[in-house]
Amino acid sequence: MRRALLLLLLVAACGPVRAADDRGDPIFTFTVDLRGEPLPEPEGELRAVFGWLSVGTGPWVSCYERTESFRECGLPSADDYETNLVLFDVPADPRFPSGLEIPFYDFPDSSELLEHDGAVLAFGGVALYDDRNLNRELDPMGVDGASSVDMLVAVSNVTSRRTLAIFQEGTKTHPLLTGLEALTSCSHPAAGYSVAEYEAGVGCEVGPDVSLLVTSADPVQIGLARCGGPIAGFRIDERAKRPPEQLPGNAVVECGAQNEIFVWLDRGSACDRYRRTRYALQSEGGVLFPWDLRDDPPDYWRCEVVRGS
Amino acid sequence: MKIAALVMAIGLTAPAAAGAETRFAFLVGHNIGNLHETPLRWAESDATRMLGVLTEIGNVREDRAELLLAPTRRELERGLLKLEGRIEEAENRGEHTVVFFYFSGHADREELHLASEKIRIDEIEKILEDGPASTVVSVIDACQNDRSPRVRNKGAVRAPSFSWPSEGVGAPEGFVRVRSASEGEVAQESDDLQGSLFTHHLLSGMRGSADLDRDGTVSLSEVYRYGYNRTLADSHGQATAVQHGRLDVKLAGRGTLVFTYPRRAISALRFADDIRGHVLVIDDTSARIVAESHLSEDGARLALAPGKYRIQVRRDGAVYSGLVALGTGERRVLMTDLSAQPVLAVLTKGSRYDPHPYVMSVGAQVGRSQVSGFDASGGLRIGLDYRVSDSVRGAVSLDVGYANASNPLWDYRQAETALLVGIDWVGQVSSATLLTFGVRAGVASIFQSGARSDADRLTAAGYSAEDVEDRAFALGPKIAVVLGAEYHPWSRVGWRLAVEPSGVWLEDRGGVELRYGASAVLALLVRL
Repeated sequence: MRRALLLLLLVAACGPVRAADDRGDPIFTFTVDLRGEPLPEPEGELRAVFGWLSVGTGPWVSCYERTESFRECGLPSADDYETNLVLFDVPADPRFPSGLEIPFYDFPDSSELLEHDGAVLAFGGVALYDDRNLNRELDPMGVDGASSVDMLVAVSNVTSRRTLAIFQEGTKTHPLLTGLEALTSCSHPAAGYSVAEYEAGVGCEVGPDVSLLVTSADPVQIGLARCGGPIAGFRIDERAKRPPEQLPGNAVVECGAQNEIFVWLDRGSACDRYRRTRYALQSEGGVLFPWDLRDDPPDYWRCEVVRGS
Repeated sequence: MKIAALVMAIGLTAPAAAGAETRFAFLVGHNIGNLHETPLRWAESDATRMLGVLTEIGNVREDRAELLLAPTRRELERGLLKLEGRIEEAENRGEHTVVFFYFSGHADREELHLASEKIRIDEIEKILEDGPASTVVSVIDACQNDRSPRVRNKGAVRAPSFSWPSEGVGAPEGFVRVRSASEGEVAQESDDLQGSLFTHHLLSGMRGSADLDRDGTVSLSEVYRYGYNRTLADSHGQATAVQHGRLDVKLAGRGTLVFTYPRRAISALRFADDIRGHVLVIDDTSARIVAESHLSEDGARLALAPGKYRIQVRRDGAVYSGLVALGTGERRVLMTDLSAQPVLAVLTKGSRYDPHPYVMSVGAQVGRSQVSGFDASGGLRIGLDYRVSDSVRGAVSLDVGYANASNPLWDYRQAETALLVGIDWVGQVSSATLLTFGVRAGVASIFQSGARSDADRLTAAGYSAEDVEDRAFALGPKIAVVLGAEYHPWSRVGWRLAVEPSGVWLEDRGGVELRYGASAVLALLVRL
């Protein structure tokens, strides 16, 4: 009887029906490759929080409607364009040996995406965390760590800008893509989700099969997460800024990479050190920027200055 | 259980010095009784045949005969009122009026059963007795036992075997009640006779078999004596229950109450003296027995409509038959017209017959969807029941339903169907109400389609139709339990309300599992 029942089901079931809460198949799956140290065994559930930073309009964006020259448009200040961050908290499926798959079932909410003349462009990065309280949310942590709940374990390799998730939508191409293409030789990504991998001097690859690269979170990133809440650990918009002529009196300077310093303001909080700004004496990647202070660094510059040939 | 009920009022006098005699006939046939009573097959046919004999040789003009087949109580009461008016007009003209009231159908000791309705017998008789008619004869061919759920005391009392008032010369006036069965007895009908046992013999007698004195007329005493004896003999010898007729006469005056005038018939069969034994006259066209007689040494004359008849005579263990054609006038049947035949079974009691064993149901259903999370499904239910017995029915049903659901990404719609067969057990609650319990088994299917709510965005981004639409079909076994209540306000039409807990094995993306559901059904029932 049981066999007959199973046989009937096998013959008759032409396709599984869906329950009401079934979201269907994912429309895109990001492949995440972990570089560096392996992830620690999670105490709770390994989850990912995805951030999409959409770029709206502004003088800097409009500049690329007129020209493809990154040099002409220059490096923007915060007022030169609009940004907005949209977060997705999604489960991360481990993939042997050191990777993850992060399925996406829909696009980011349109209402939370900025646009420029009908064109939507957002750059994405991912952070992996140990959801120790299993609430499916990266919980902000206390400064002293006493109230720590979740633990950031890996972040996108955003500082080197080697891989970047891209979301594009709309009938037109966002002007910033034109500028980036001119700057990095990356081809135009297709509509929807894609990943770009860029390495100076090697080239750029864009497509749905490109993997995102993440590395184990360093103490600074973990501290950022603890102090800055769920998004602090992967500030993909962090960039080097032109050093001001003077720093506030309570500013603390830490040497960074070549011709770079990190400055944070000591306001009496342990988290102050994670809200730092990176200043560079000159441009990055050999691209000409409007300043080069190597020959005349500011008075507070105590770190080594390397002058080119 | 078959119950036949027959009520006939026949007033017949041989008018002497009084005014002209005017006869009326009011005949009612109803195959459907209460719900617990197996529908009859021949009750309405009996009433029709009785009408034919009365208008042929009963001195009833067709325009003074009213035949009601399967009437409601209201229709019956309205017909009686109309009849009363016509009788009063005739009485005012100085005519002597005779009324025949005949009923064939289901009844109990006190009431006639008109499908889900009832009407008291004494109420009808009071209307007739207190009415303007000079003479009223009522014949009820129906059971006299009490199967009404309201009364448990059957009170079966054997009627006197037979009693007959003295008859004189003149035009008797009053009331005559004829019953096909005594108290506690069932009246029976036979598929072989294609009519009720009592009415069959009554009609045979009226056609001439009961004309014992061979005067060309059949009187009340003759037809009743004939019907009583033949019904008793046949039911005693060939049926499961003995059936005694019953007569109650309250006549005043002199004269003989004449039922029929076979001698006035335009055509008749006269059997030769040498034809003796048990004689059946069978209409060759309809194969229906139209008359039955037991002939002794002096032959008989049967008034019949022109046509072809098969004469079948059983005598001394042998059967003789022959086909005779009857035109206008009298046709004499001789023994030489008949030839010996192999013995055929006649008058054997046939199996019970339900003329409306099928019940079609059409209704609406609402219930829990077979897929989790969907809104309540609503749809159509079509069913067909077959009445196996008073308490058992076979059932088959087809459900077609619709349900939908949505989540932030998808809008789902699905058609749900189920084809089930099963069996119901039926219990009587009241004359018009039933409770049912049933089980069902069959197959259920789901055709599901889904569309993404953000299909426009995905399509614009280059996703294909397969990415934004989804279709699925699943089929699996289903079982259900049915708890129902039925209400039958009319003989052929009723309502059913049922609740049906069910289980179905269907596959979704989570695998095959048994899903429980329940639905409620409200359906219109029509007996076919």
